[in-house]
Amino acid sequence: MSTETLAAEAVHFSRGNRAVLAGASLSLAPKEIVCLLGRNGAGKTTLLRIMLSFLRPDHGTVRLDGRALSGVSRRVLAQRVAYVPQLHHPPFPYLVREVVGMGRLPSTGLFGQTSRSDRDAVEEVMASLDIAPLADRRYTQLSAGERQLVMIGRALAQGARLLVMDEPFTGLDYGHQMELMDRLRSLKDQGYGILMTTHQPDHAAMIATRVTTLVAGQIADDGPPENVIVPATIRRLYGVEMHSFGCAQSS
Amino acid sequence: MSCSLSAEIEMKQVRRRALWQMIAAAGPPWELVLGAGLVLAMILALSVGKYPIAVAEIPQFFLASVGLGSVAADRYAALANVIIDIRLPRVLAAVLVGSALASSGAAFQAVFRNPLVSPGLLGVLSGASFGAALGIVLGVSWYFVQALAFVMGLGAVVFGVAVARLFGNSSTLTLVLGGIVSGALFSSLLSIIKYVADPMNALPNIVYWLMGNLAQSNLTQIAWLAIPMVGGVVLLGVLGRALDALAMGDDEARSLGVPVGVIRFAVIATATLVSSLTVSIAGMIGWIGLIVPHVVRLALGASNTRLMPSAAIFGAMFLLGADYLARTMANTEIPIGIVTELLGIPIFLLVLSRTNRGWNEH
Repeated sequence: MSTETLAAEAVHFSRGNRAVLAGASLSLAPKEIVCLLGRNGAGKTTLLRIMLSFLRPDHGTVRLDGRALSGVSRRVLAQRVAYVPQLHHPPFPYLVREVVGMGRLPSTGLFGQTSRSDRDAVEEVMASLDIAPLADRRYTQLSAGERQLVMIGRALAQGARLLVMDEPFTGLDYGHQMELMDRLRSLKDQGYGILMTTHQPDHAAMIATRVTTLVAGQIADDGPPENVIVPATIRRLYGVEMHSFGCAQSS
Repeated sequence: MSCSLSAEIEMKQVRRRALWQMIAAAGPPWELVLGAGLVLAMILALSVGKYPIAVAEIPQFFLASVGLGSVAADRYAALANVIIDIRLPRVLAAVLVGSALASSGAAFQAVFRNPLVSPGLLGVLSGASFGAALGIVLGVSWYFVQALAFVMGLGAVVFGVAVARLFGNSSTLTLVLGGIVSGALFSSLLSIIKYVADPMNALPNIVYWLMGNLAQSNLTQIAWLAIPMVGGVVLLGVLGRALDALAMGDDEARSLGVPVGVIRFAVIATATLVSSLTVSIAGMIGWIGLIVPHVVRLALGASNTRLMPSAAIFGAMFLLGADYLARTMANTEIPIGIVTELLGIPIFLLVLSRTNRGWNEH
């Protein structure tokens, strides 16, 4: 097992008597963008939540750098792996600087004071994502694209090198989707590892270094996009024929 | 058109906030300003009443009582009687109750991610009233009355949340609905107690006390209640950063390293304890737990590290002010619960018009 990887190994999870995951294995390492495809209700979000230690699997383990997550404290995990949730409105009008600043919580602890270095780290992250001009705006009043960047900012402020994102493109218009892809590519080039779920195979084709599919509770495909995003996979995943899909890849 | 208008409003807000920050950066820190404001409000409150005492005499009296400076002996005796025996219990009661209601309101709002909940709306005050009235009718000791108030207050929260869960989701609306149902249940249980209570003694006591009255506790009782109440308010105050993370959502708080279950339980239990104990000091005092957190959020921002202590101090000042009105508006004293309701409604409408943008989720 190489260092700095997050890996789910043969994970099983059932809800009631319905098996959601039946031996799914998925890994994430730095310098890669892994897209997880699957139908609605295939268990993509469940797998992410298990890998983030929000849920405990029935069988199987998730390991961080080879250590089982059950033996890793939440605070330590939070400094290594960050979660970028789907877009939402929090009920209170926090400023952008305060939301990004929440990312320092794992380093300072619940009762710790923020130091100058914490505040500097927050300013640095905001500058790197070009959201410094938004610092004193209310998070609740930003556009969807801006809010997504603030959430990524909070994840970076945690100091984590691995980011787990739940449908990051949902709710963004086309222009913001393309901008976000550029951001994620540049994060990957800086050495971050990104795991994301998506409903759009074309997004996966454009951005992923590795594409995985979740079918019947298991990872059915795991490989470079040009091998995975082919008509046969699309048919198996979504039950539709994609005759013209090749044009997206022909470049 | 509307877009440029909202951009203009936004710019105005940014400018106003920048101005506020400049003032804040140039002046003394906000904790100091609020703390000084509270001390000043307490001194003013001690000077108000039928027996005339000049404001300057209050600090002179306290300095003299610790051996600094001197006050004529007969005047000192008169001041000691009025300030210590009559007015101080009342002022301390106002400070304790106001800070406990405001900080528990802010804590409930954060932990339930719902700006519309408060100790009153969640049914805590009704539950605690029922518990305390039950204790009075049963004739149990004073300490047991407090314990019953807390247990029934907690029961009311649990019942309200359970009703909300019954409807499947935990949206803003269903939790408010659950709180209303729980409040109604415990109000009707309270009515049963009133119905069976002795109409000559227990009933008038219960009714007058529940209307809200700060003058019914003596210094010893207040000193005993101050221990859990101040402790609880301080605990909620130091949990500010955890409350910020919880306000973003359970999964997000977990991903930031927060032990969600433990913190949520601790916050709900503490907020319920301190707000239940306000009922035994002063009866049911509504609105403070709802509006004070909103007013402070408008002035100082949403961050709970600042909101929790500021709301506690501002809540104390608000109740001192309301008590001043209750004592001076009419020839006879008006129950303070009535005053806070009369004050709370216009303030809440004002706050609502300023903040409802953030509440219209989707």
